[in-house]
Amino acid sequence: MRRVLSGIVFLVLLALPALLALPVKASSQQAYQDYLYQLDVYRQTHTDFQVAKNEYEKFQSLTSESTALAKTITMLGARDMLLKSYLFLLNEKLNEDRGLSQTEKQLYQTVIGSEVKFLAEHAGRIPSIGSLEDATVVSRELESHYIVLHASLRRTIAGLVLGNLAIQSRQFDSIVASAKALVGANRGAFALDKQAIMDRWMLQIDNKRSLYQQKINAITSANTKLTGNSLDDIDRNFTKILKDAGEAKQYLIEGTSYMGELITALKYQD
Amino acid sequence: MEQQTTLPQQPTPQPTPPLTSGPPPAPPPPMPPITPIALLDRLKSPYGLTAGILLLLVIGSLIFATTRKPVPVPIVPTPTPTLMPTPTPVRQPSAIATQSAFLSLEASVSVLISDLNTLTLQDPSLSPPVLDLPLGFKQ
Repeated sequence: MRRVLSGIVFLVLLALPALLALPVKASSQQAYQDYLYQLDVYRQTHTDFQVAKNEYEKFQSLTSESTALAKTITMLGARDMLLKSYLFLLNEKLNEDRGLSQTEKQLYQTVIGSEVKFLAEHAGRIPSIGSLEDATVVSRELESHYIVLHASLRRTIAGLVLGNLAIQSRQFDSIVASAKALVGANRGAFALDKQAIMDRWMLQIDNKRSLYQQKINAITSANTKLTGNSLDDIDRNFTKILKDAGEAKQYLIEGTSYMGELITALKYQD
Repeated sequence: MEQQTTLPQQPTPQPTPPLTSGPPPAPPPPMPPITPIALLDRLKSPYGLTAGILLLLVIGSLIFATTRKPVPVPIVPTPTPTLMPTPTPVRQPSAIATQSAFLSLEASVSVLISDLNTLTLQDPSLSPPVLDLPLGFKQ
């Protein structure tokens, strides 16, 4: 009996490393799957709602009215759930982000939290809908708030873009610091004209870093004030932010290519 | 001796006949038909003989050109240009080229270049859902 037990324990210990090595789904992946599911549910309920609404408008019968009301209530609930699942996805993405500071993350997560609260309150009013007029009133509550909600979504996405850039810029800064230290320590090993070439590359690298920072500051400022009178307006401002982020990335790429030139200059004597 | 200069004679103006008055002009006399003898007479002249020889040459060359067999042109292989790589100048490595700090820096720059080239700024999975907000019931 003891031998059997010790055998089982041995087998479990043997399998433990393999079990620990199993890929664990990231929370954001789980949240994304949930969002996709809610998107499917919403699309289905919205189709059912459209059919029921058309039937009601065609026949104006009591049966078609009650069907339309039931389908509207289901659709409104699915719509709130879809938006909530999307906000959870953004929240998980923020949790996993390595580029943003804790303060910046909290700022975006506070906004997400208040939007989730709004949706929860809105969803709480859906069961009390007793007529199509009630449904229209409850739906309008979300419609009137949606521009604010959409701006919050776009602001958070832009924040995540800034986080992606921050990871690269930190790596860039660390490499520049190492390069400066290496050049400083071995300056005497190179001829004067070679030293001048290295200094020029360092200056060019610093210039690109400075241009990158200016762009990031402009994006941060624009993102804080990201609003608009319509959804299209917000999307237009968001596209401008993305374009600026692309330019900031380009400055980093150019600065890194100059680092490559500096490396070549350091590598050879002549 | 004095040289006399002759001026070109100016054409004397001819009086233009009146348009309507007078009898109509007589028709030109008919040309006599060209007989073979007359043709031979014409060919006997040096110009006619030259023209005849030229005509014969043209006809002969045309017949020769259409009837002769085409001579196969031997295919000369086009010489393929051989690529001669430009010799890379041998450069003297610096004193720090083998230092671990330098090698580490070189590797870091390569990694950063690769990271930046593959960096996608916006996560494509984060597009907000498109909603149809107003219910659209007719009041």
